[in-house]
This record gives sequence, structure tokens and C-alpha cells, in this order.
Amino acid sequence: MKVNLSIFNSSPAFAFVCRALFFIAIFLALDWSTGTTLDWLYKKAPHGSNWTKVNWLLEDQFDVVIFGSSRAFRHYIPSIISEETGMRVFNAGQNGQYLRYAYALEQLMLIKHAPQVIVLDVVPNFIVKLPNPKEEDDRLAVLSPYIDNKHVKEMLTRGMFLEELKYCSKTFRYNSKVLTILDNIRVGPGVVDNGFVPLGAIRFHERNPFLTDLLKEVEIDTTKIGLLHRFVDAAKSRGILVVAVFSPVVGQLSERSKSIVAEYQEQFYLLNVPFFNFADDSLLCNDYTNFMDYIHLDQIGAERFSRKFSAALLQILRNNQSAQN
Amino acid sequence: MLFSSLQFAFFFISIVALYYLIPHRFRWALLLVGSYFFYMCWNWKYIGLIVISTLVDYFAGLQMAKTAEKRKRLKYLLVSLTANLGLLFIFKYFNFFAESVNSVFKFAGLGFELPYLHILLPVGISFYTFQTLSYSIDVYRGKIQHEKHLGKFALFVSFFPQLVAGPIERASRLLPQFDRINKFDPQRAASGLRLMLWGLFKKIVVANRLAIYVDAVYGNAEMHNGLTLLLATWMFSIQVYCDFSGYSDIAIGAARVLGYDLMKNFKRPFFAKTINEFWTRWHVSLTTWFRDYVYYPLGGNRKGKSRQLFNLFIVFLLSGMWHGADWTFFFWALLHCSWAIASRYTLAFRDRLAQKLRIPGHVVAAVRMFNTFQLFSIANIFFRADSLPRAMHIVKQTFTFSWGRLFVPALDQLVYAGVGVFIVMLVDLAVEKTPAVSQFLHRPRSFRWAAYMIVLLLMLIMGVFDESQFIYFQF
Repeated sequence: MKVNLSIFNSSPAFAFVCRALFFIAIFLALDWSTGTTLDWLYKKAPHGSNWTKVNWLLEDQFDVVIFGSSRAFRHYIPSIISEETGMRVFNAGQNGQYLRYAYALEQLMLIKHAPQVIVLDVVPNFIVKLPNPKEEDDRLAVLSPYIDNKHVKEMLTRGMFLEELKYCSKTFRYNSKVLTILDNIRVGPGVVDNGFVPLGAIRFHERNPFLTDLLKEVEIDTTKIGLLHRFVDAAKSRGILVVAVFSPVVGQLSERSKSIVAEYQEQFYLLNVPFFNFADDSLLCNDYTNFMDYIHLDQIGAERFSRKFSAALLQILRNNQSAQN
Repeated sequence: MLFSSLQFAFFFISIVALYYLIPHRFRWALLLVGSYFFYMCWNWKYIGLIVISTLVDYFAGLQMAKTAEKRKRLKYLLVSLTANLGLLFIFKYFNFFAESVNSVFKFAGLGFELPYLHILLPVGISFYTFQTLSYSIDVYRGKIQHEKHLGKFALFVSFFPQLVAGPIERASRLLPQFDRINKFDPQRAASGLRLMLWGLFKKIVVANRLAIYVDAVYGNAEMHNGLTLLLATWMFSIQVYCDFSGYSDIAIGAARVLGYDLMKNFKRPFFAKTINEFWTRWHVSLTTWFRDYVYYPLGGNRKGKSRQLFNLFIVFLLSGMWHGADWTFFFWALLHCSWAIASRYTLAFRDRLAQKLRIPGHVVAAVRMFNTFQLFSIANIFFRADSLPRAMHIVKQTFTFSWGRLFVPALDQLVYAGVGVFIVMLVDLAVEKTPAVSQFLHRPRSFRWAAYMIVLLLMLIMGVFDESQFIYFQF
């Protein structure tokens, strides 16, 4: 078959290809300059949501850092834990985020500094196969400004070539974030307690069971178990004490959640990580006034839980100290 | 493989490069293989349905061409209609039919149940079925010659730019184009790429963004008040326009880059002043299909008023059924039919009234456009809701004005959506009022390039790249 190369010899086609390449070159320059400007504005923001949850952690040094989902975000009050333990505490829990987010953020933090203790507040969703992993991908995009970090890139793109290609655009890293950036500049400092945002008075709502309790069946995801090990190993290799926690839920755990907690117990035993299951704490769990919904504590509950958790943490630290001595 | 994905970008660039590099006689084969590959990326098993449709219609056309005897020709036409509509019935309507029949049996106390089929609805089945049916009917009527080349006919059925969501092309327009020798034309290519860019903007920036709010509200309609439901319904009207017209623009643009002309599917429908005018601007390839193959053959408006009403009712009923097998689509069709009839018979009166009251023309036009949009939106409640009770609930909540606080989960979502909608409407307004495209082309290159770059940047900044399907894929 004869290949017809004449179109590229003809001057209009050649001119078209040259013009297209020139257009692409200009656009890449524009993309780079826009992205760089947004990057500067995003990372220099003195207030606002991304600063509260990420930039603050990366810029400051803390003794205890708490990772996890919305449950971590709503359950641990840094000022109370600081008061009880005498350590500087940061709550890096984030709404709708799971283990991949915790791992990526941990890696970003460890480049800058290492705390003494890392607390991982686990939920069933962390280690099971979810029906729509794309949703988790979309939520993880909050970390896209940090895509240059190889661990963040791995978590965001899951090694998929086309996903990595998207992030070659510097502007795309700030997709749907321009208004947040403007807001970060506009708003003043809010009521923020080292990553924790107080809820105020909230009435109990009968909503939000664990996602895993709503699914027909669940399966433990071995890749996620592997990630859990990587999370712990990364901290331990820097001499950081890792503590795992399953924080309180209303009433009793479902049978399914119990089996997932058992899986956690086994994994943390293998990893030699102390694991506290506060879902067994009947004093906290049987009192509805501690909760805003089935799986989230309200302000009063968070205060009570933070004190209990501080006592447990102090005990671990003392045990550790005596073991070292 | 979605038009808005990077996979499609690689696929399309490869096809275009190969297309212009190989000799004309092999191009149909390249496009056919590419089109089948494009379809199989969704579900490789269902390519068999397209092949069956192709073979049946090809041989039916061949047999019809061999004889001038009307009875024999009709026999082959019926073979084509039965095969195509049969497949459509099995894959699209059987479960709805079984459900309805079972309900009747249950009501009558009969202990018999039709079984349900556990099959997926093949993407684009209504589109390519109607396209290939138009070929058989036109060959039967003697309007076109049958296509002798099986490969080119297969390409007509499966041409990838318009395979899964139209525009529904006619054989008389598309088939001859496959014989035409297309040389690379930089102006055509630029024009096609421009259209594709605009279609992507409408889909990624507007439709996908609006979908977030619409899905959140319609997914939990019982939890929301009338004001929120009204806003979500308006948003859905704009979403479905940007989604479908965006798809059509990309399809027309992609075909144009390859040197083919597809028919225009949307003509700025939100500037229609009556619901009848709306249907001359919305999904034009389907409305003209129904006009040519159903409305005219039934007698159109030539057999008196009552017959015309009946014909209109049939057309809208079939249009509703074409969209989906559900009672919601039946109600959607019924509403559009009622409004089309009411609009037709009250137009003269409304004109006289406006004249008598000396209402300025532009005010009358604006009010009519607003009303048409409202009528379209009300019907869309039935189009979007996943069941009839839920649709009724939304109508009730909205029209009993049980309004409260507007549901705003994230203000930035609404702002991004608002900016996108504003830009789309501004461009539509400019094109409606002036031949803006030609004006735009006469601007200096720096101006045009700046415009393209702004559109691209806005897509990167405000687009929603969540790989959500085009709404009309489900039909």
C-alpha cells in the first residue's frame, strides 16, 4: 500500500501543522504561567480551608499528628489533647478522605518534618473494595497542587498514564480551586484549633452509617492493606510512634464492621502498632448526646473522647518510655 | 471511549493522520475499523447488533433494487423493519413491556408472569437503528439508489462521530460523501476543531458542572423544597442542552476534520418563541426524521384539523417512546404534544392580544422565549425523574410553592456553573442576532487565538473531568 505523504508536502497542510504546533507552544507557556501564579497564590495563602488542613501542617512542627477521615476531623480536639499531654497536636483528618489521602499527606509532611507520634483514625472504608473508586479519586484531587511529589502522584493517578498526562498541565492542578484561592485571600483567620474546626451545637441526625454497612457485600482490598503497611512503615522508619484508633460510634457496631475491626486488629498486631477500639467504650457509645449522627461525635462527644484518647496516648508514651529505659 | 476523554483525543488524532496518509480507496476501511473499535471500547459484545442491522439492511436494499414489483419491495422493507425494530424492542422495550403486562396480569388476578431480560441497553441503539431504517425506507420509496459496497454501507451505519448519539444522518446525504475524495483542507480542519472545542466546553464546563447539583437534588427529591427543585429543573434544561448539543458539535466537528458534513442538530433552541418553533431547533435530525417518515406519510396537515392533531399525537408519542421505555417519557411526550397543539391554535389570538395591548415586539418575544423555556423545563421533570411518582412529587412541590431555603451544598459549584452558562448563552445570543461565526473568522488571528486559549484555560480551571456519560447515550 502506497502511503500518501503528499499532504505534508503541500504548503497549506504544512503551514497548518506548523501553526498548530506554534499554537500548542503558546498555550503550554500560558498554561505554565497561569498554573505557576495559582500555585503561588494557593501555597502562600495565610488563611482558608486548604491552609487549615494542609499548608499549616507542612509549614509548622507538631509533636502529634492525627490522620483520618471526617471522623478524625470531628473527633480529636488538639487543644484538649495538648492540655492533657503537654504536646503540640495537629488534626489532619479530612472530610470524605480515606487511606490514600492520609498516606499522601503523611509523605508530604515527612519531607518537611517528623512528629513524635502519628495517630491513624481508621474507618471500615479504608481497607475494603469500594463500589465507585472514581469518587475517591475525585476527592483526592484536593492534593493535586502537590502532584510533583511522587507519592502524591501515585495516590492521585494510581499509575495510570492518561491520568498522569492530565497533571502535566500546571493549570489543571488548580481545577475547581480558583474560587477557593480567592476565598483564602479574602477571608480572615477563622476559629480553628490546629486543624480542628469546632462544630457548635448540633442536633442528632439519623444519617451517615458506614458506607460498608450499606453495600451488599464487602471484600478486603489487599492493595489497601499494603498501603496501610506502607503508611506505618514510612513513619516507623523515621522513629515515629504510630498509634491506631477506631473511634466511637453510636450503640453497637454492625457484624460487618466488627469483622473489619478484627481485620484491623490482626494487621496492627502484625505491624506492632497499638490499636485502641473506642467502639467498645459503652460510656461514650451509648450516650446519644455525644453524637451528631451514627458515626460522628458532636462537640461535647469530641471533648469527652479527646480526654479519653489523651489518657490512652499518655499511657502508651509512658510504656514506651519505660521500655526504652 | 467518551468524546471528552484523552483516549478519544489519541484515537481521533491517529485516525485523522492515517486517513490523510492512506489512499482514498482504503479510507472507508480505516474509518470502518476505527468506528467498530470506537464502539467496542464501550462493550465489544454488542458490535454484533450493528453487524446484524447492517447485513439485514444491506441485503434488503440489494433485493429491493432487483425488482420493480411493489409487493416484493414491501416484503423486503418489512424484513428490514422487523429485524431492526425487533432488536430495538428486545433490548430497549421488552422489560418495560413485561413489567406492564405483569402488572395487568397481577391486577386481573392471573398467576402468570413474563420473564425479564437481564441485558444492558446497547449504547446508541436508537440512533443507528433509525439511521439504517431511513436507508431501507428511502430505497423502498425509490428516493435513493441502494448502496452496492457493503463496506461503505457498514460505515454509513457505524460512522464513529455520530454512531452513539447522532445526528441521525440520511443515506442520501452521507453515503455519497464516502465516495468523495477528501483532500486535507486546513480551513475545514480548523473549523472542525473549533466546533469540537466549543462542544467540549459546553459538556465539560457547563453540563458536567450543572449535573452535580441536578443529580444531588433529583437523587433525593423528597428531601428538597419547591424552590430547590425549580432551580434544579431549570439547571437540568440547560444541562441537557449543553450536554447533547455539545456532543453534536463534537460529532459534526470531528466529521468535518475528516472532510464529511453532518447535519446541524441544534439551532439555539432557547431562543424559540413557541414550542413548535422549539422543535425546529432542538434535536433537528430526530424531528425531521419523524416528520419525513411518520408525520408526512400519515397525511401531515393535508387531511383536516382532527387528523393533523392525531398525526401530531402519534409523532410525539413515538418521540417519547424513542427516548425511553418508561411512563415518564410517555408523560413527557404528552405534555409536549398538548403544548404544541395549544401553541398552534392560540398563536393568532395571542398575536392579536399583544397588538391590541400595544406591547412592544421585543417584550413579546422575550416573554415568549421565557414561556417556551418554562414549558420545556416542566416537561423535563418527567424526562429527568427516575419514576412517575417522583416526577409528580417534584411537580407538586414546585407548583404548590412549598418553598423554603435554597439548597446550596457548595457555593463555588453554582458560581462555576453560572459563569459557564453565561458564556454559552452569550455566544448563542451573538450567533442568534448576528452571523457571529463569520464575523469572528474575519477578526485578526491574534484575537481568535486569544479566544481559543481563554476557552481552553477556562476548561482547565472550571471543567469537570469526571468522565460522566453524555445523557443521550442512554437512548
